Amino acid sequence: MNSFYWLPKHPDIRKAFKQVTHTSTAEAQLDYLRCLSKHQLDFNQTTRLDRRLQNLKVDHPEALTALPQIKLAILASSTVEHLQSAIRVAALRRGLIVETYVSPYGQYRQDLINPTSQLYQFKPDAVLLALDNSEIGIQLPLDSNWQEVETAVSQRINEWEQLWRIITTQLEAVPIQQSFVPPIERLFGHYDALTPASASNILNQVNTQLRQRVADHRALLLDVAGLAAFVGYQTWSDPTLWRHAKQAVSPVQGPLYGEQVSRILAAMRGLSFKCLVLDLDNTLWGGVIGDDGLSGIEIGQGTGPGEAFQAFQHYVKSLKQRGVILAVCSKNNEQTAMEPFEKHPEMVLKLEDFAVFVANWEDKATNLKRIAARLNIGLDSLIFFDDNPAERAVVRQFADSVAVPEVPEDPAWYVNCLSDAGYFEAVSFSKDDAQRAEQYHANSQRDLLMEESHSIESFLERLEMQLTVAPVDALSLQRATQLVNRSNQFNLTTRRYTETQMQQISGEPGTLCLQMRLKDMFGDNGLISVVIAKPTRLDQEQGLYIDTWLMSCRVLGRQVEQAVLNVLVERSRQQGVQFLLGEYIQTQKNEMVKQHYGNLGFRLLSEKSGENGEFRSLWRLDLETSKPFDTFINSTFCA
Amino acid sequence: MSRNQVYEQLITVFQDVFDEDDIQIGDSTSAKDISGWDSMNHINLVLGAEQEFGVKFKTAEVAQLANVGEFVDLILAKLSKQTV
Repeated sequence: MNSFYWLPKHPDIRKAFKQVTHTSTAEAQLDYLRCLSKHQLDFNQTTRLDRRLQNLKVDHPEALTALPQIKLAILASSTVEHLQSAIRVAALRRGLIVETYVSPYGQYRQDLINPTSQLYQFKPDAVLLALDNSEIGIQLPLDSNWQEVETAVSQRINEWEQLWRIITTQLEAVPIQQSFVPPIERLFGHYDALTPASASNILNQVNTQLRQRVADHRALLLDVAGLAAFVGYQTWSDPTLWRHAKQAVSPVQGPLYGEQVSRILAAMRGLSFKCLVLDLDNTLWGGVIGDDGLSGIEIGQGTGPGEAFQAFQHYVKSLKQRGVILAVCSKNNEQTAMEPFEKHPEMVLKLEDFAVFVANWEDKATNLKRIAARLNIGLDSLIFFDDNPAERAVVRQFADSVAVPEVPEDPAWYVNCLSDAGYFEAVSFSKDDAQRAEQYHANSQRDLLMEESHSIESFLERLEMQLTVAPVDALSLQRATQLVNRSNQFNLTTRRYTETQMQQISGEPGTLCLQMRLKDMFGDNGLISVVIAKPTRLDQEQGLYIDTWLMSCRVLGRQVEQAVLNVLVERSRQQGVQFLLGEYIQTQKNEMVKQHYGNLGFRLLSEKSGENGEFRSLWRLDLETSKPFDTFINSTFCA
Repeated sequence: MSRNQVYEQLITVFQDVFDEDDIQIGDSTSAKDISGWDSMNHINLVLGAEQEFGVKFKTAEVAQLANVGEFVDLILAKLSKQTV
């Protein structure tokens, strides 16, 4: 099987290369090359495509700047020049432009410790440590015990950790460490596995320890060992080419290596796919629900295909639990399409697993655009999985930024296909990520409610919103700090604080350091707002200066700021202060809150330009005369 | 497979490796006649031919090739062994 079996074959790739230069503008050429990159290409065709891309970059550098960029330095102990074009072409497939740099052969350490080296001039965003087995260099007597092996490996990894530290602190780049490919040779055979100091055991120990150490260091891992096992060790590395050209990865496997590297780079740049859009008939079950009926479709234990479809549903469900948004796009009557989810006992996926469910008779390209709009995500973050080649062709033509894998004919291969295509690479994973699919689902439900509602008031009323205000405590500290550092638009002063600083502020006497959570009938929006107010004096009066007021844009237009002010006024009164002082400090991104205090009934005190020329305004609210806002939010304060 | 047929397929490998659709090769063509025919592209040519013809070359055979004519002879020899 071709190692890129999820990509379509090009009907005539050589003819396509001839046509590249005939396309008109530089932008059109880039689009054309990107389209070609989404097909199966062997290593020579990959290099050829890269050559066209590099030519385009020389002739029209501006054309490439339309796409996101990343700079990758490769530090290797073997020849890797032949892998660069594969990385660049695979990145183009994901809409990313990669600039590469390779340290001179055998000199990566010197390059790394010398701050005037070419590596430092290159200023990489990421540094790939592509070390091969010759770099392990652990020689132990064959009768060494497990503990001795573990210690020796740990010491060696300490040395690599030094390199990661230099990359992180001196180069200010993200280290990507490559795992090691197990050696072929055996001294005994199976008994090597029971001999602690056998070459294969030492290497396994290296890979095992490496995982944890890389994770602890917050570096990234390129699991080349897993990749080589996937294609087979015998094809991954060609002993002839290793001896002749010091190529640790056979050029034939270069495109696959490049694909894997580019997945990590794309994830670093936030270019990951967010939503899996699924067809139904012969994709989630066997047969056609409209023709075969509920009892006629094949799903569940008993038959091979039935089990395969069910296994696929299990895999899709676990992707959802990981944070991938699910949607349905099916040519069916909606009621018919929903029936198996509601009534068939063997279905693993349920209606509530899908953020959007589209079943109608319109073309799928249009429906996919509708799904992206409903979820408020780009068309290029969708994957469309459909067993029907004609539907796939329509989508590739009319919604070409959607990723459309070639779905295998046998459903037993569906899981492999979706997994091998690697759409969901990540560089971190948190509880929030896991909840993302739920939140998109809830957002889409809110949008539906909004469309149904006659007025914004009736929409807000039907949402049944509950606001919980509480001081920032140990449990909320991390998320509150994250929000303080990430919010740009709804952020009055854009002051950034570290976790330690936030902790100090929340402990200061007289200071209010508050976090807000919003729930509604569709779910929990989580921690969505932070307000910090510090004691201040004006003449003889005591007041609170609002040092920080920020909010997640997810809950804009929901009266949250009015409800927060109500709570803030109430808390301030209990502290016995007479006024609130609000300040707006302009940045390039927070124009939306310029009139925030004015809208909330504050009186303008002064306007001026700050030290850096930025616009600032100061506002005052007298607590004695201020009246609470009417909102559709039910607020509670938890001390 | 005839010598001409081998040429027809081999030229597509040359087109890919040197990214030149009008590339001309003959029995006497050697590395000095084609710009970019360095050691790395030599490997790419050999691997490309292995893929195209479904044959496998030995290290020594690859190093000894003096020109395209010898390359074609070698491919023909490999192919004839396969069919026996």
